[in-house]
Amino acid sequence: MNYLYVACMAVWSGVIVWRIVFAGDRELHIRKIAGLESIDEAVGRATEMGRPILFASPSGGMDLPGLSSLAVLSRVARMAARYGTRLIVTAMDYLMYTMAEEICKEAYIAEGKGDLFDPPRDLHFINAQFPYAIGTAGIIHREQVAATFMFGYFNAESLLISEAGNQVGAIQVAGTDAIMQVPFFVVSCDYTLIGEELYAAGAYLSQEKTMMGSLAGQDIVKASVIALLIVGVVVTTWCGVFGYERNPFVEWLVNR
Amino acid sequence: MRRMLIMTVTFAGGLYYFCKFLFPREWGLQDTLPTVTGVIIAISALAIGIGVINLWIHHLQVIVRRRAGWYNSAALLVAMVTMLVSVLLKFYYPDSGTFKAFFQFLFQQVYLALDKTTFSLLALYMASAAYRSFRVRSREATVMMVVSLMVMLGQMPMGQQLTRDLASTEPTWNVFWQSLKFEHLRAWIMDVWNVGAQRGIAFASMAGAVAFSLRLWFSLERGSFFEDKS
Repeated sequence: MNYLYVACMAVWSGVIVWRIVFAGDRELHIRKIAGLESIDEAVGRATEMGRPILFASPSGGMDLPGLSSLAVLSRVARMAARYGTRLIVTAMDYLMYTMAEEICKEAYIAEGKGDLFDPPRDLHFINAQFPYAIGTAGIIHREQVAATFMFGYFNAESLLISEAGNQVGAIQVAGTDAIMQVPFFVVSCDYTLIGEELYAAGAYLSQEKTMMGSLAGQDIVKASVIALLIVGVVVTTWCGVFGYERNPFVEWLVNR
Repeated sequence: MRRMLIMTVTFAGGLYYFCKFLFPREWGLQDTLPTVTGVIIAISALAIGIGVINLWIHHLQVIVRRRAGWYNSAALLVAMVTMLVSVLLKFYYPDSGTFKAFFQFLFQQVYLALDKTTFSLLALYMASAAYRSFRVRSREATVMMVVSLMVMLGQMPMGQQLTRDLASTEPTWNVFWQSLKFEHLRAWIMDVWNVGAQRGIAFASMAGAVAFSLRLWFSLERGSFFEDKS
């Protein structure tokens, strides 16, 4: 086991936990994330147009991006229930399907409109990549959805779904940490959350202090990573100029 | 009670994997991994079973009540039964060429053909999305279009031919002209700028993933798994 790696993870985790525990009453500022701000706008527009909203669950299943996407689904479902707008959810992973059903039920009940939510009509499960993509695109065209949300880890189906949304003129919000899919979402969606913004969605939407504290801890972690990068550049340059054997720091690091 | 149960199970699960990662192999936590993985697989298998039952109940209801699109439900159930029968026949009569051919027809000539057709749509969508993004509407779009053009020209043999003759007899200037060839510009953009940006995103995502995992582990994530506090 690489002890340096474990030590880094332990320290970074400790910093985040420290910021969560001592979040206190201090107001923490978080920059505006246009993609998350636009959720209300998208749901409002769908309500005005009398057309449904579509939430396409990620194909990555119940991994970290998938779990973070559920925070957005919860928000969208609450808003849809509040305004009486129909919400359609598609899922490619059976666990994600079950979680989505539970979250939608809770959201509709919390808004006092539990009877509006009809899982057989509004929840769709398609357990293969391209059937999922084409099935979701078919729903977008048939139902003429006014807004689509795609959050989590996507693969090649990202463009098939988002282009279908683009063709019907839906307002589209996407978020992914899949680097290969980011360009597809950027060109076909109105708003795109990139990388860490996806993980910040839950904290951003709830604005709860402990969760905001975790974001502050995350910033410290990022600052330390940048510092390590600078150290790496300096050390590599040193080795390039003076040679590896004359650098005691590198020698110590390698020997550990 | 329900919330407490979920929180306890989540924390215990997180603690197990955290300790497994952190503690030395000699402590024996690694040896328990097959058991834990087996439990997770069993739970997942139960979810699949429940899912199949739910699927049948739902689509049978749609067909019996003649709800809108009932014929889609009928097609789904017929396809499901046909595929299941073909797999079972192939499994129990492995020497039968007819059953094997029947299964292969369904899988390769029907399912895979439809799958590949869908995948091929991606090329069309890429072209339409690229056209939209390359239209010069702002300074950013112009920069993107110019950079994309350079990358495309550097990728294509025709583009490489355009700058083939860039050279000089003077060695210093020759290095300069060589670096302006489309294939070298493409490599510089893709290997330096693009990789740098991708690694930046990956680093930040890693930090975000660690923070998110800790929030999940301590059941702090609101509005998604527990009641909304806001």
